[in-house]
Amino acid sequence: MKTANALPDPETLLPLTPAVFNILLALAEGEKHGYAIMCDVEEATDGSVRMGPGTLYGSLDRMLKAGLIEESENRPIEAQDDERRRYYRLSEFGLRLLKAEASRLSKAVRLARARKILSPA
Amino acid sequence: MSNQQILAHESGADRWYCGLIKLYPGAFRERYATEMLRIFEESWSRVSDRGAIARWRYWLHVLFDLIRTLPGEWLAAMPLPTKVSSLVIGIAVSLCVIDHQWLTIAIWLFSCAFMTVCWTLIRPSRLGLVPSLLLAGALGWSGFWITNLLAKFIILGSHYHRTNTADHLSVMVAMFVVLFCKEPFKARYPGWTSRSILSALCMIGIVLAQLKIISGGTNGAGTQIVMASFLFSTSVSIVTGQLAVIWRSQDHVRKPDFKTRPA
Repeated sequence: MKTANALPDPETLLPLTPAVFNILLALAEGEKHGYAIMCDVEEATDGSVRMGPGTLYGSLDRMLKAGLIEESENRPIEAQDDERRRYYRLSEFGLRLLKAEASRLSKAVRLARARKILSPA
Repeated sequence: MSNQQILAHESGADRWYCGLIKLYPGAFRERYATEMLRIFEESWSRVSDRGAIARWRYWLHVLFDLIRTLPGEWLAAMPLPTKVSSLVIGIAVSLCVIDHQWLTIAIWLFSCAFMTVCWTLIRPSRLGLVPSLLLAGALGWSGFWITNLLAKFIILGSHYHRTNTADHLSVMVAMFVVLFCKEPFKARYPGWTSRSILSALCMIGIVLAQLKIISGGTNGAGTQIVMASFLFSTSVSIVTGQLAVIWRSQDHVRKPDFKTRPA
């Protein structure tokens, strides 16, 4: 079994695509199914990032393969559950990558503020 | 049946979307089709109350999403030789569109790529080596004929008379040499990737085209430029491939591995 040390340095995978970044950000709140991720991303970005089912599941597939997210086995209570849904959660590596990307973006925002492109917070 | 399912079912939208999902590669469909349909039904129930314009806008969004993601999913599902061949087919078609002078090379590349695709698709079957090769050859040759006919009658009308039996034979021979020699050659020289082998194949084609220019078959200023660029890219590809092998053997670098999952 491979150890966590064999994982790539998150810095080498930056910058992330908007879809991947927003999905990771949505899953940072906790486990979610596909539709909840889609709604969360749309709401968080004020509708500027609208993912269709193809974009969402294409990204989820690549993120699962890259070890950024995991499929969760926890299911809601039977009355609220739908067997056609799968739940996803952030992996430890995914969280590290999300932090690295957020830090990169934060540096960019600080630079923009310093150069008076953005007004101070 | 949930409310979303009933709404989508009543309008027939779910059946249309089911049909569209079938356009995705098998493995992707098997894993995500049910979830995608579930999402579609939920989104449909959200927009169906907002009138016809909202429904049409949602369909446009779904169609745009499909067009944008389909090529990527098919490309991801393809084995490497098919991926490379598809790329070459793309280049060949682009060359056809850009300049008629490059048509000979474009046809040649297209035939090689088509044959490689045929070979990749046939190889996993239980036909055995010789029948598979013959079938790949026959299909590749047919591809060459079809491209020729298209070029002759659709693109250039009656002015195009450049290809002959020698062209067909050169395609066949080069492809068979590559198909037969690929595995032992790769075992002996691991730096040769599928890309460099295909580049070498392209180079052979261009050399043949060049010989044709020298013998007065065609005026090929465009061909010479393409030849030079392919020669350069092939050399770079081979040299970098060999350097990568030497470098890796010294264990100086560790390539980021996307497929490694956390412990």
